Amino acid sequence: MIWQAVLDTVAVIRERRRPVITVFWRQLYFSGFEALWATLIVAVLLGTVIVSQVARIAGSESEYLTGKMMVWVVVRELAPLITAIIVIGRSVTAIATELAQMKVSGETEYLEGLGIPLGHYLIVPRSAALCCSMMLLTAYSAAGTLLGGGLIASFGWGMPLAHYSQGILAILTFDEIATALTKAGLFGLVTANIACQHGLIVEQRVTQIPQAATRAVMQSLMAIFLIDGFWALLFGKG
Amino acid sequence: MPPLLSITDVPIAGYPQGVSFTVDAGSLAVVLTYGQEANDCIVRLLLGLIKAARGDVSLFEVPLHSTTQRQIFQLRTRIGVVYPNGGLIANLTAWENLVLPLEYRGDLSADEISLRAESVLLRLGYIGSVTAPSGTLSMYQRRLLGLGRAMLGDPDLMLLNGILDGLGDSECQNLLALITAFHLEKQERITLYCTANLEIATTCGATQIIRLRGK
Repeated sequence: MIWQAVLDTVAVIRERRRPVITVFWRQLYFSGFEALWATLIVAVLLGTVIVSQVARIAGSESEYLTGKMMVWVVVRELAPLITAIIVIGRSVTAIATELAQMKVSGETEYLEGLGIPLGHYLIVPRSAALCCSMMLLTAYSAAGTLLGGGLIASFGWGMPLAHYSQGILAILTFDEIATALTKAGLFGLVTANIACQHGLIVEQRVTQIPQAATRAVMQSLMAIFLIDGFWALLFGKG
Repeated sequence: MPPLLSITDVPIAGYPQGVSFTVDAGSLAVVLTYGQEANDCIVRLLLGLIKAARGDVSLFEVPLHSTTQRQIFQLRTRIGVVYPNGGLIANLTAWENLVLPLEYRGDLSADEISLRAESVLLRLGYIGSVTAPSGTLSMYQRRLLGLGRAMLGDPDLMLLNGILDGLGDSECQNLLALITAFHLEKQERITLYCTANLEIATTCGATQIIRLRGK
């Protein structure tokens, strides 16, 4: 299945089919753009909570520790995870339901009958869009959390913004950002494929549509936490 | 000349002992079945969506049981199918459904596809919004669009699955006229109605009527 997905992706990139590109943009709009505000609000609130806790434990003159916590905990870990959970709640359910509905109503057969492979038209653009959405939203989420943290650090705990920024910039490297974005992209690819797989394996019964969505959400959640755990074990020593 | 379409000893829904028939190039044929389930089964077999449990299915002189998935997708680009409900994709508009296969194939520019699609809509006498979601269209509009989509691909084989069933007289006559005129535009083209309605079989001007026996 993974090999087939790779072959489909290569074929789609090489052929640049217009309907596939349209599906990609629509999915990107739904998963990336329409989820922006929800992700930002959660991120800002998360930043305020984390900075409040760190300041409470270490005191308001702990800029360096606060910066370290924000980069290591938020940028590297929580931003991709929280974003993934939001995307799973919105997009994975939507994809699994939509594809299951198409399968039940026979539309997947219509597409194949038109000479359009399902992998090319349904799976690849959704996977690519979810991957890009997750990376973009993670970047926004990290920025929102750092901003929210900065505001609460400054106004709530009297920590000068300049000190707070210096604490973060001292720790934040290109590697940290690349790690977070790579992980987010991987979350997007895996969750999109889980959603597509569950959507397309339903039989001809309408009652299986919500079941497909539920299974896709649960497996996606398990998958992202597993990936995160393995990632921490493999790359978390540096 | 060998037949361009042949089904030999293939069991289908309602005919477990197997059915056999051939259709020559240029034929306007009707397969008279016992019902919609058998129609669906024949269409799926010919599209390679299901494999025959036994026997052979051959299309354009290519035996489907020995073709790769890639070859089957290539063959499907030579087939136009119209389903009883039109076979449209619900989350696309009428226009997007109409141009989907041509857009996907990518042989023509977007402008060329638009021109062809507009002329097909005119020819069909389609009345209705092309920007409406396909789910909001009437059954007749959906079948018209399905027919238009198939016509746009200039197929060598037109598969018409129960397309005339359940329509009013004028709608039925309109579709029959469109299909017959389109059939005659290409000498080698096969048009195959799959229906359980004997009346349609006798009024569509078929050159060949195949009655499946065994139910």
